[in-house]
Amino acid sequence: MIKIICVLVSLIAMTACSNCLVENGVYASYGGGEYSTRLELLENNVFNLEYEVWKPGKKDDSEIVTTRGEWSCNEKKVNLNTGNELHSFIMIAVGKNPLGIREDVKVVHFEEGDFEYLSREILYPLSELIEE
Amino acid sequence: MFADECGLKTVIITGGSESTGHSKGSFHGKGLAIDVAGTKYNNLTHSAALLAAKKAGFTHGAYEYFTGSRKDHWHFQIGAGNGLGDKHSLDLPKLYIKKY
Repeated sequence: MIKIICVLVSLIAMTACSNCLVENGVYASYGGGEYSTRLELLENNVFNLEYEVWKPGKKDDSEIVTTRGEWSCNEKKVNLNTGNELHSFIMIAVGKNPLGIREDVKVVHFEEGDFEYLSREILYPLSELIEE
Repeated sequence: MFADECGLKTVIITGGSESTGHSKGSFHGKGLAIDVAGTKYNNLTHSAALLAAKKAGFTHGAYEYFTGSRKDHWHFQIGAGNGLGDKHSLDLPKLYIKKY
């Protein structure tokens, strides 16, 4: 009986831990600089990452780096894994901001990791960045 | 310095001396460039931004205008290079504006 209870408790705990609170979608950097980052989280746990960088006034000659891999999620934390590179982010409410974005909008906040250009980067839901 | 000179109580600066996120040879990593959020976020005219940048010691710059997005910004740097040359000099009467 105790074993059964232990198993049930473990299953409940595992289910709770694997609860992903991050939605599929497209997230992008707020510009204001000579680079742009775009992250697409697909339903099949595949991610597409596009990083574009250019010299001032020379976006027509930009360099684009694309990366594809798998993403996994545990509550608000997501790991991006390409097989030999790993980077994590957490999903947080943007809070007070100068962009005019609602404080409760969830944004991607990157930690330090293998993709140098993502470290400490914040990506916003693309829908919030497109002008009407 | 730019913030002090531009006349606004608050100004949104979106780039400074960070070493990541910019192109190779960028003046940002050398501590010689800033990015200032565009006219949608900072209540500045191009002439006011140009004047403030010059007073702050910047010599070259450009405004990048992106249709349909929020990426517009001024880039100012000290010295020519990394894509900015004579036509981007802040000594010219008008700031160089690039539309995409």
